Amino acid sequence: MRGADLINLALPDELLDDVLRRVGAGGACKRDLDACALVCRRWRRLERASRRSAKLAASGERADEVLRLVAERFRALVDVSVDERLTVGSGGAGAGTSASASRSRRPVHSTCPSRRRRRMPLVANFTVQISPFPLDQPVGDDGTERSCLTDVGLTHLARGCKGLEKLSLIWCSAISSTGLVRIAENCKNLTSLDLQACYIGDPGLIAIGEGCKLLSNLNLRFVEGTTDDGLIGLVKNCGQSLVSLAVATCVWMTDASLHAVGSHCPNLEILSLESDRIQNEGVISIAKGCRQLKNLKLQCIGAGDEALDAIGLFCSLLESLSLNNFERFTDRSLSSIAKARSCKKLARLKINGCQNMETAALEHIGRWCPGLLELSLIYCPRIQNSAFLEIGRGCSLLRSLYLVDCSRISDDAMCHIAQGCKNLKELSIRRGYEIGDKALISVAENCKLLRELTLQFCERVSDVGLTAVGESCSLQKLNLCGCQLITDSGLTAIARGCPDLVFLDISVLRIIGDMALAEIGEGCPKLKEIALSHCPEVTDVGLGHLIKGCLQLESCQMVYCSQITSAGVATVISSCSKMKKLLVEEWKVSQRTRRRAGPVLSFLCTGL
Amino acid sequence: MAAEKGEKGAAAKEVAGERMVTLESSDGEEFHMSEAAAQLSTLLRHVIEGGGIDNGIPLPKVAARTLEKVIMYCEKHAKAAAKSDSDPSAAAGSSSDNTAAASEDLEKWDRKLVNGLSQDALFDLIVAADYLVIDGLLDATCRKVADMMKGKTPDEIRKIFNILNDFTKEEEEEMRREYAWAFDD
Repeated sequence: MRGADLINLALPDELLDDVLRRVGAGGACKRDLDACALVCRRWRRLERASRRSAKLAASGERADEVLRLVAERFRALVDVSVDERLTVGSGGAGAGTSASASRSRRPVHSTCPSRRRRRMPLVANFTVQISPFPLDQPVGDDGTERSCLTDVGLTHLARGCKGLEKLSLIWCSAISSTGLVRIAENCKNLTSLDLQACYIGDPGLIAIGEGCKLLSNLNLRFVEGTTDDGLIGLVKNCGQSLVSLAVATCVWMTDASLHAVGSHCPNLEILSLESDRIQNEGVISIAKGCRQLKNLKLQCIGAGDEALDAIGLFCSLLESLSLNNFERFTDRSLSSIAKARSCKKLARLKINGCQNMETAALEHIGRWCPGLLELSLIYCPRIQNSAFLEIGRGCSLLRSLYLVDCSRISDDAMCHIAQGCKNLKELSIRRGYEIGDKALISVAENCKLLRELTLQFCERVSDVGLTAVGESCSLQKLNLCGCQLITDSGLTAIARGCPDLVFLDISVLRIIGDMALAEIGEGCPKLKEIALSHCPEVTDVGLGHLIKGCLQLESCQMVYCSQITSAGVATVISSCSKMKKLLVEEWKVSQRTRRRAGPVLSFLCTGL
Repeated sequence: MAAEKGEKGAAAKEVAGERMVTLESSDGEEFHMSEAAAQLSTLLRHVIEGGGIDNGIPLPKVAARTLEKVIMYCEKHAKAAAKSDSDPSAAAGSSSDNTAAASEDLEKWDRKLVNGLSQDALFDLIVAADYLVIDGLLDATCRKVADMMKGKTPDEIRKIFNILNDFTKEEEEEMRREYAWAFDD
């Protein structure tokens, strides 16, 4: 005989709500909350009232309908994200089947009649499939035009969830100003708005400025259809609250917008600007007006030294600076950043593609930025070794160093760094053709805290240097892709010296063979990811030894390994229970393996 | 645990150097609790500060067996707080292992407390913790109930709590379809 329903009797709504909220806390909560919603009407009502965030793939004919239902059912939503890049499963969903990985993952091209076709970026790692609602969505042929979320759906959302705080509409190409106006009218608590790759108009932006006075984060990357007037109108009204702004490839934006931002956004802390039209004047206005700037990313071909002089002069709180493709940028401007008061706080500096930067700038950074934690230099071919002498002397707190395509940097530079920056935790050098064993030995002697080491295509590095590192530093991540002098002996030293190794990339190492894999299998039980593509000497035997010891393996890449056969692949699949991703040639996978492993397998695309 | 009747002003009496507070449950039983423990309840704290405790504090919403558990919880946590306050090494922060172990032990104790309760005792405790505004106890008890629901199907949940399914078959079907399309972070 059924007992009494005590819980519904004893607990009033607020307390049952407290309990349901704790069901939802922590991971894997969706299924649990769904189950609670299905228990009885009262629980359904409470559960719906307590959901705070939702993420939707709004492609498909019923996109607006979906949003209407969401807004109606879950009135307490605070965080909504609509992303048309999310793949949509074909056919319907069964009850409670969440991330059913048996469906294929193909990126969706969503087209809308009145917009031009946009090329979707390939988005990796989306593991959740969402079925369109309701169940009877027909599986269309590839040629059918699919509609997407429109202003109608957005209006439903605005009117239903007035407490909305975060709204993300990514690649929603059918949204226009009308939808945004509705949001502005209804959602006064909006703090974060992300409109990446949407096509909206000025009235929409202006309305947001007028209606959402709490707006602190605005993302307009790849937005089209607006002009300067839209952004200017927005910041004039809600610029005071704006803390973070991101703009990229917005060909409509000129210095006028930046002038307005400088004038109306005194509290701006984070700014990301990628634009070909911006000139010095624009950046200078920002510098003068946004003195609270902490985090600045600039990719502006049109700006140069004067712009950075201003940043150096006015932005004394700067912690993180990223400069990309600054051809007109020479040593002078980075020097002004360095010499100005702003440098005391500078912790992260990234310089990408500044071909005219030589040595003086880095010397100044070394002298005036004692707090530097991360330094990234990408494609700065004119920087020479002497620059690093000052960095080594001055930046003793340095934790991370990334050097990519800085072809003149050689062992001496690395010795300067190693001797001065003993706290170095991450070192990454790609295509450092002049870097050799002397550098590695110095690092091994000095940087005992080193945990991540990348030496991609550093062709002079040999077993001698690698052994020194293996004996001194307990690495967690190691990437030796393309360092073709490395043999089994060097890897053995690593295997024996780095028991905490979690990530290993030994691709394009032509000489290494099964012995290295056997040593790694024995010495690195925590290994989760390994890449050994283009290793012609590795066979199934070595692979077998590897997986016998590395039971935590989740990801493995082994294409172009001519001696690995389908037997080896099958062994990997059957032995590695935690495997999530295996990249291999399609013809090496037997039918049986395909059945067993399905979603884990990725195949090399040779037909591109 | 009944105090002598007619002791005016004796509610805030001292016992072994600690000030005590008298509480009266809904079924007329009297309980004593140290003032330090009573401070864990925001409601009691306000009453004490307001000075209205001469004749004991009546709690018409809390039954004796529930009040007993409440007092156990508060005394235990008050003692633990006093211990960590007076421990010099904890203040210096050097023995963070000790403080971590101590809070782990406290959590274990909390779990033991709620694990031993029947459903109606547990719900009564939730209501009492809410009424007396004792956040830690409310959290521990609610989490216990939440844990009973996690990883279960709706049918299993209904069985555990004896809840009647008042949905129609069609409603259930529709809901199961709908819930496939939206997901939370």
